[in-house]
Amino acid sequence: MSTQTKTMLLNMGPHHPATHGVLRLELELDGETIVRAEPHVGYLHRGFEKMAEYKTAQQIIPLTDRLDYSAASVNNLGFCGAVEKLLGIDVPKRAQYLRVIMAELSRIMAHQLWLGTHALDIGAMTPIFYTFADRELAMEITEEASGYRLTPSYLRIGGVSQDITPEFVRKVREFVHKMPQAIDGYHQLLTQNAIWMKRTKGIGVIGPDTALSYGLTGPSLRGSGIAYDVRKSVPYSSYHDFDFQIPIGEDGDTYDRYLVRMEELTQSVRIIDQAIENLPSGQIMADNPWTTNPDLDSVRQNVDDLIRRFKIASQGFSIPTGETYHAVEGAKGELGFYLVGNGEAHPYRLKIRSPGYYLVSALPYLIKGHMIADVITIIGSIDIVLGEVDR
Amino acid sequence: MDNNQVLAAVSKAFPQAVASSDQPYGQLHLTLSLEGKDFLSFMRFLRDDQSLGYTLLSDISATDWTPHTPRFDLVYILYSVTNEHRLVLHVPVDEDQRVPTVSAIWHSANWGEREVYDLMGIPFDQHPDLRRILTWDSYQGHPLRKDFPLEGNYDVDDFDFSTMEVNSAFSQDPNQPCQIPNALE
Repeated sequence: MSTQTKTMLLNMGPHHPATHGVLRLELELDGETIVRAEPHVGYLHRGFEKMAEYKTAQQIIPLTDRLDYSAASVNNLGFCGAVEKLLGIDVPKRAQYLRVIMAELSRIMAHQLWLGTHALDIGAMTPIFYTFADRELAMEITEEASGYRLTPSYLRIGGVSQDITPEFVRKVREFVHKMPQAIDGYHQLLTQNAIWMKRTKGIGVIGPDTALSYGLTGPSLRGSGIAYDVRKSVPYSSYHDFDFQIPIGEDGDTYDRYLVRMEELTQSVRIIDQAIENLPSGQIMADNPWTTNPDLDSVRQNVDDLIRRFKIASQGFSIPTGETYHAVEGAKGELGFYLVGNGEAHPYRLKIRSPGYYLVSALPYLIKGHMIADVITIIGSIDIVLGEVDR
Repeated sequence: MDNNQVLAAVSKAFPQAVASSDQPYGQLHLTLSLEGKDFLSFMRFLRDDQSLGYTLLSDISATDWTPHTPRFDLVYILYSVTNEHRLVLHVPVDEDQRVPTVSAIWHSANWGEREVYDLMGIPFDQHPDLRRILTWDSYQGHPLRKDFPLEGNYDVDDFDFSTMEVNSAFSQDPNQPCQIPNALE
């Protein structure tokens, strides 16, 4: 009797809780080992870039919240930065600091969401209760500033939507005070945990050159030992004012990517601490009559301001002819907005460089040769949000 | 290296490559006038040259400038980690003109070019896996072209329940549907 082996085709997703959204993977298996993998994306494609060509700049800001919905304010920051570059708007220092606070808060929220779900995927159920409880603190701060929790749309072209309250400052200080202890708690649960280390060390290894070639950015690239962070290399929104470090890994495996993100939590808390303590006073919106709404008091008393407010709200403002690529450091990596204007109120073309898209493109390389259970680990470790992958 | 040094280095190695250069908002934009093999060796030079080292291809984008000719502006966004410098390359592409793929130089170009092909309809020569990516396989048209309407309906016939056939990346011919393997077989 002769035996023969043949590979099996396994379809995973798009509706699978561990794929963190609607990601479909075709896996070719030899026993339980992956021979070949092919990701299929696009199940959450909403035609964002096409929609943006028909909307004014202010109308696009809430859309950008829905890209990486776990770190919404960073997306706002990227888009507003691109538009402000074309318009030549100088954002007041106070607004820049408030933007940094919101961006770093959303980065912490995204990392907490990632940590909880990533550990849950691997089988550790406890961390998600702690991370979600602490994430609630950041959510409350976001709500205090903007009125919304997950998708705040706090930023405006030229500044932020409203000034902060004393309650906001109190909550941020409390958050900064509590977080280091909370992060220590996460470390105690996982970092030296024998099962965690066995499940993550040596899984999904990618070298620095390969990682760059696949377009990996953010913590996934830094886990491979390349210290590329847009906040340091091309500082925007006053990031050069703050003292923080870029953690990097050595081996480029799941465990190193985990450690990098854990250290980023600490560094983000440091940035928030410096920003809230050194918050400058002054305006929160740029002094630009074409883009900044006049305040409500003058609208009630002055008909010209009433007309101006109405025009900005109804027609938007023209985005000048020109093109630029503006990148920010999103929670997942380099988030770029390639904006082309032609003098009309809506962008002529808006291309979003989402970090997650290129992270997914590296999945076949990362998964190959591993077991099915490691596929879940690796998908968790590159930290993708399908809203931003598919746009 | 700053913009002028990069421009000088590029012009020295490939005097014919750059048709025009611009520095809007402090960013170096080069418009290329290269085709075929010259284009590929220029891109390879950008990645491999020690002093330049554009090892990260951040993104590939395209803009539809219809009714102008050439119709498309294909955009490569490169980043050099060692120099901390960003370079934006523009390649004018006519309708139905094929562009050589750079996916052998940067892996990220594989999916970048697939997206441009899917949404803008620019075909890439020698691409290892040129299929639609964000829209489904039987989708018609290229949504980001300016002549594509914002709204509209048409029937989707991607999955035939009577035959249980679905498009798969593993079938020999990606355009031919393959049978779903029966798990109980």
